[in-house]
Amino acid sequence: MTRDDLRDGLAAIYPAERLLTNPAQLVSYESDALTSYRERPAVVVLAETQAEVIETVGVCHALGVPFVARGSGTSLSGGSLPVPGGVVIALNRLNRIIKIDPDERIAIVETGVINLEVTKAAAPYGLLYAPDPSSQPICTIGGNLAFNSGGAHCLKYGMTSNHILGLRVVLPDGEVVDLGGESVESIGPDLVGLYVGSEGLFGIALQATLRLLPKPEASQTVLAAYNSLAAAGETVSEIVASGLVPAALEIMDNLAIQAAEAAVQAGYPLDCEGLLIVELDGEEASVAHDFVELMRIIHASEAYQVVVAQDADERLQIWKGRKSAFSAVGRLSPDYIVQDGVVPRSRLSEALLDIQHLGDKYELRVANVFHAGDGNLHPLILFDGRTPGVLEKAEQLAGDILQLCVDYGGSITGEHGIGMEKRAFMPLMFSEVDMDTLHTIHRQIDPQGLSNQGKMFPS
Amino acid sequence: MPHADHDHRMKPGDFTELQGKVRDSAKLVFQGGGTKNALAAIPEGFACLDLANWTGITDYEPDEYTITVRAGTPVATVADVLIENGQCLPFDPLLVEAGATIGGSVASGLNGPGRYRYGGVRDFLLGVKYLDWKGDLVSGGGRVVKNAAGFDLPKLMVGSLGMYGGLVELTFKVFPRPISTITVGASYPTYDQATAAMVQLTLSPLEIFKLDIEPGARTYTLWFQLGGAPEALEQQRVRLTEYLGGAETQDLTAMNEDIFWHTASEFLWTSPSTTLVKVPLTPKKAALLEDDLVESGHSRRYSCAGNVLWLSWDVELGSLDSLLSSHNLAGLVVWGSAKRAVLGAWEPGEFARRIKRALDPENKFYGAVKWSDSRI
Repeated sequence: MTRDDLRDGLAAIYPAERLLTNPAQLVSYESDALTSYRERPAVVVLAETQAEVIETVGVCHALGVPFVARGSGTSLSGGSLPVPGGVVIALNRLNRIIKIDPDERIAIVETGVINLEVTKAAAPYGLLYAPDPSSQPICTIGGNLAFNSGGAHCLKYGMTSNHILGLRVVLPDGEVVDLGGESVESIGPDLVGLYVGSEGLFGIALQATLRLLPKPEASQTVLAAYNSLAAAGETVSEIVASGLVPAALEIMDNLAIQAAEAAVQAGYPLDCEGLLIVELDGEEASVAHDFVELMRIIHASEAYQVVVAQDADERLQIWKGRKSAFSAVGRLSPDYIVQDGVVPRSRLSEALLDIQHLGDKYELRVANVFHAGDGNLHPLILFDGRTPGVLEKAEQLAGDILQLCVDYGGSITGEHGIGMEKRAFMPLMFSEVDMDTLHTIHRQIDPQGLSNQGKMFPS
Repeated sequence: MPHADHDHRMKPGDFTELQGKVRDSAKLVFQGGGTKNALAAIPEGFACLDLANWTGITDYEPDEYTITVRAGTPVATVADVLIENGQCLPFDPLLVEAGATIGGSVASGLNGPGRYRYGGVRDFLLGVKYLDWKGDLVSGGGRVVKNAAGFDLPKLMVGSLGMYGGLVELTFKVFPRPISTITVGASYPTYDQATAAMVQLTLSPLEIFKLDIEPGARTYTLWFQLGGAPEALEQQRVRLTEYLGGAETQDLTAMNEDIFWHTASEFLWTSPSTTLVKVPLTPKKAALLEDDLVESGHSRRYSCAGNVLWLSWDVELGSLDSLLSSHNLAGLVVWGSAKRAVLGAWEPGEFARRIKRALDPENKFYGAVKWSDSRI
């Protein structure tokens, strides 16, 4: 294969303006939201139709060229990092909403559609697409399903995988298959379930059938401020033990609060060591009932300040602070690494204390924002990459945190995926037999290993 | 010593025996409670590994919403333990009283009417340990409620009917049970009218846990269960009328409510001697199929807001196979002696074939399933 063969093959599919080979054009595709990783692809193609994607995969397969599908490039795990010399298939223009069927509560969309656009299209029918990663206004459905993205409302509503009913995918050798369907029920093995979260290693999803839910009629969003993270965590345990199923249970520590406040002025108390955000949603009478119970628990806790959102704007403001926390931390530090480990909910306080000690040991600041209801931590390790050796130190600290999550019986990733970032840590969680099994499946689906090469598996 | 009875069933009680049996067998079927007899049938030439002694809850953390259970454990045992803590398996497993096991519930991928509220077994299975074709123990997923590491092997096992390996241990996410429930029936003269009311309910904010349609003589009854705190339920009950289009309604007493849903979940509305078929569909496809079924007189129920039909078929299956094919639908035979497990329009497809080749290259576990396409 020569680079000319590749260029000729792709030029037969794409007009020149959608076939990018100029280094100046390629530079913006060199990395995703994990900016410490950077690779230059040989070519970027801007696909507009499913047929173009299928043909592109066919060309890559025939020539043995690695390819990476890319949506909006918001992956925090380097999931859409290009392969040097390979092809990036950009899917942002593959963005038709094919159908919204309110009676069957489904949406059929192409995978380059932006997550929030689905909810916008469903809103006139009183429906929504539940998964809401923080990058919701820009991330695509394709990226969401490749990495089984989560969000703040997973506790009650589940992750992306719980909302995908059917898929049309092109396998790494160009064969197109349909998986699942339009019903929430199925027969035979759950192949859609296996495909979602496969990190692009099983080819490219072209089209997805999504489950829509009625928009909750009522919600209550409460902020409670604590003098310690442990006290906030204790309240989470009380809420969970009470039998309530909140839509969201989030905690931010002081550093994260400072950052969020500086960025978006969400109205968080700046002196607070542990800020709890609880959201209830559902039918009006139910939410009213649960709210009384929730407030009883919060008032009995050590909260020194409690704020209840009085209207939709105040609610949005609270969430704006939380959802901007990652980017806001950029104000505190030139560089940061965000981790995504999970611990059993009841071990949260211990885990946070351990993380604090690790931060002290490595002399690095760690901000914490987490989905407390799921035990899903997001420690943000702050560092200055210009100082020699500090990136390595930050990565070591990140690795220690992942080890800690596994030691507590948790996971190295709750919702960001393994990608490039955590592939070396897979053996912490999985035995040699487990890893062999994953490899065997991968080899059967993609013998040449071309599709999103290098992700998930240790090199 | 492992116990073997007259039909050479092995009932291992410890892991070493279990593993040894898998290693020593060329062709093997794992069996749980056998409550789905069509799916539990043992083909000729296959050894049977009965999990009756492979039971027990190995870990339960009520505050974590997680429970880990050995595959042969009766669902009833798990449900009892969960109830003590005000929790449940939200996918509403079927045939619990009949003796269904946790492993069988996962392998069959069947869900009860309650799956409407929060999802099916696929949505609540967090982790799986299974014995592969070499007899090696493989773990997939995790034991925490959120995890995105590695391929989602737990979901692959749901509905797999044991074709990739023998399930050994399963971890589930559990949820609090609703404090109280009410069940209401609303009757309509036609399926379309019942469906129209059902759609209104599915789009409503009401906290509906179950939503079934029961065809009767000249009438279709929409049955639904609301759940929540008693005060909130009373208010929801008042709001119901606006969604039901003036239909005649009946509220079940608490006792009758239990009996009603028990009848549905145990399939007491049909005879065990008939063929029971699960047909996944959508409300619109259900309406078309119902046109063809209405004169037939077969007992049937539409569950989960028109997403699944349970059909009791007491004549030869060839006609059902053709009927389902003509509607581009497929059916899974749960009870009965069909030669194939799947009827109608169903093709495993290339992706499924590759997964099967990867996980069971020697077809050791082909067993319990008489797939329409034996290549899977």
